[in-house]
Amino acid sequence: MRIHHPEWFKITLPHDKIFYSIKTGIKRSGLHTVCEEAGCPNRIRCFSLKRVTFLILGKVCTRNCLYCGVTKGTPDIVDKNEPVRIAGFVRDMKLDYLVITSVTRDDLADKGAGQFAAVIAEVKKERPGCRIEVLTPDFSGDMSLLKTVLSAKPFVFAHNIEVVKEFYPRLRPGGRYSLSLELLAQAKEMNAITKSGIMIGLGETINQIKATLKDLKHAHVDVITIGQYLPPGKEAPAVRKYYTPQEFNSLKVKAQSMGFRQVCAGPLVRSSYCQVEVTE
Amino acid sequence: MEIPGDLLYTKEHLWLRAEGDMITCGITDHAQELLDEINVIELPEPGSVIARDDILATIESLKSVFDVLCPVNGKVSHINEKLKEKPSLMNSSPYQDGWIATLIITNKDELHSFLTVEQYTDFISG
Repeated sequence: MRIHHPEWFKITLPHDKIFYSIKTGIKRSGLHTVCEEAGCPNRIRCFSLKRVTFLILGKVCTRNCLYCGVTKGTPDIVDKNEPVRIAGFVRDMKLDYLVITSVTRDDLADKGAGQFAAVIAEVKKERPGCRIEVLTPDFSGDMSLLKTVLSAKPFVFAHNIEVVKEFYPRLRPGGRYSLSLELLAQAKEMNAITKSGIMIGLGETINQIKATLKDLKHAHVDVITIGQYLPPGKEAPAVRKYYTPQEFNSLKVKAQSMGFRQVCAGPLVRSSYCQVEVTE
Repeated sequence: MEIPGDLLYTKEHLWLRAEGDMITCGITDHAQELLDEINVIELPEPGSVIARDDILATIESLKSVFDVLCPVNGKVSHINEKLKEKPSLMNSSPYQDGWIATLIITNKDELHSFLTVEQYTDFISG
């Protein structure tokens, strides 16, 4: 067997105390991160930079997206203390930027929107200067739930389109392309800074990527991320193409020319790896 | 997480077992946890001479590639052929069945530069 991943996926293992203080802090707090649940290749670098993406509402998802490594099945009981524990972590570790995401909770009446709002409120209380980015599921298109989250005033509202239109619903059963775009458009209507990410390398064409970017622009998305898909396990769809850093750069230039406020593109770019710059 | 007391360690998360002028090495339990599911390993040829910090082996896991840098100046005496068929032995048995290579070291004094179990435990705690 030969190595498949190109050389730009090479990592080094941690050498610094910040990484270990973050890792130990997460373990001690009993919280979950998508960084660890998804085995993200960036997590060593991110933790060393005090960048953490918490996964709230348990670590079991009610949907079955083929590209995702998060456990699927019967969801966990919602932990009412989670917002306080996250806020305590952010305070103790002195984080200045925080990303909150969740599993999809189609089983809950509010789809988990209230928990997002509660986490934002608690973190603001404990560490007022910390900018909070939320990366939410689609809330089945219930815009009142979007409002619940945005009323808590996160710094950024993110919702990932994940893959090109042509791969719905095969890779994202339960999701709808048009509904995700509508959610982003509505968030913009409510004056949020909006952000969306796409994974490439699943067999899509360049034109399909460009069409998806155009649709995101039509939804007035501010910030986009484009990264290489890597399978979360042996049963997941295989990589059909490894885009080179040069190809990512061409896509970045294309997206910038379309007028997005910020574009992050590269093999290791993940939605929450790219912090939104403050321009105001 | 397991960190056996009778081994030496490096800040690159390797373990070493020294016997005379030979050392056997592999990745630590902590390293395999960080790398996640290991799918491929490229091993050196027995007999090859490798300088300290040059690539001894390259590991591919689910989402990353990791170069195992040679912990000593030495000559490869044996490699763990079983890893070619079953690289996941580094996950399931990092200190026993998942050993990577045995080397004849050029200078035994190099062994003084490694970490003890206490030092490595301290290095990886927050």
